[in-house]
Amino acid sequence: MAKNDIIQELSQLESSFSNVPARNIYVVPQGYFEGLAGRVMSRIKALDSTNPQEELNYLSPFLNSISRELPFSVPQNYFRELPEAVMEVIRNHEDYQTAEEELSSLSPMLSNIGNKNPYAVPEGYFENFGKDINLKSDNKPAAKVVSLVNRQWFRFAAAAVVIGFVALTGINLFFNNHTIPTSNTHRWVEENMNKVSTDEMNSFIQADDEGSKGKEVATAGTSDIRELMKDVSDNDIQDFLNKTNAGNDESESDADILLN
Amino acid sequence: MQLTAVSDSELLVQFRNPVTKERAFTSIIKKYQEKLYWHVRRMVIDHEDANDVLQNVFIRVWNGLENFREDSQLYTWLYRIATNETLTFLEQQKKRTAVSLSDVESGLSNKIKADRYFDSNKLEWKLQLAIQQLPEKQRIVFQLRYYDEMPYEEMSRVLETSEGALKASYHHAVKKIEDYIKNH
Repeated sequence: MAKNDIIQELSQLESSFSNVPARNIYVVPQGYFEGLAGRVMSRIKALDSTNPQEELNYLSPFLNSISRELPFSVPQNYFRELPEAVMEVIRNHEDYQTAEEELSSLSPMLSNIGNKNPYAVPEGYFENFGKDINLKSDNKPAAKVVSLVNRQWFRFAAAAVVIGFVALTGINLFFNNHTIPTSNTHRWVEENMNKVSTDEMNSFIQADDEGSKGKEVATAGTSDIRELMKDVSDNDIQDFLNKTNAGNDESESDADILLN
Repeated sequence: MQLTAVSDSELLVQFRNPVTKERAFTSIIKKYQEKLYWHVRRMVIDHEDANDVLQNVFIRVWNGLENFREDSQLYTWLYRIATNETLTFLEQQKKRTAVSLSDVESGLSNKIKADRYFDSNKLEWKLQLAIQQLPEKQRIVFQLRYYDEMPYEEMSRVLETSEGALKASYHHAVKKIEDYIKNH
């Protein structure tokens, strides 16, 4: 389509563009086209170059001519100390060793043994394992699970232990609070005996005398006694009487302590 | 035993043996520390930042070296980790200060100017300022080619970009730097 045809078409469409002159508004850097061919050729040569220096020489002889030495500095001995610094960080890292490496460093012997399972199972055990379970569960009812804690006797036993403990502790406390002070036994007896009347004391002594004379024994039937004593020898009876007298003597001596 | 005498594949074999693992890794650090340090340092400018990034790089290498596939070179793999770690660091720095990338770049220029040896009349310092004007990826391409003279084939594996795109990027970078130096 010719340029005039385009303008005519724009006029027919009543477009305002028909009056705008078709002029390029863009600009290129000065001398762009003069140097373009040279630059393109340089680039082609750069692409075909065999090493970076040759490449840069085609792209920018200026950059190729200046020093590539970096102006930055590093602390003294940095590179000498870096490997150990890195290893130190790695050693403190949680992923420093695998389980195998850890065992190897801890015990080379165990590490050499390896962690292969030495146990064997019957042939086809795992293949048939599921089947066996299904078979058993089909034929047999599930076993009842009895909990030890739920048993009633267990609860009673636990309660009895607690009650027993409380009772024993109470009794112990009660008697501890009512013990007669041993160091002042005589004084305690004197003080308490002063509270007892003479009549009460006489009746106590009389009752004790009667007991010691065996009146209770005399009330028992004679035939019964003979029946009971028929297998007992005279020597045994004599020993018994001797022991009984000794017991009475001890009671008398205790009574002496109480009365004095 | 000289470091250069031990090949990467030999070091990898030693690394996989628990007894020689640590020694092999120390050798790997010694072999590549300077190259990687300068690659990082040129991007982050500050030594302390470069040191932090570099240590993180080697920790990543330690954790990943066991599974490293030898179908690519160790050197290429290390550069890729270092580049990614550096870009992550710059990204974090940008987020931390909640500023745009151009602010980060001007921040890097300020770091250069704050260097105690900075001399605005010296060409090498002007060059550093010019490099900071480049977009991040272009800056990496320029530095890998200009300073490390890395072949495009390797750079392509490091940056996972086509060789053609890298060549174009380098060409643009060279022109921008030349213009900057001429005009400043």
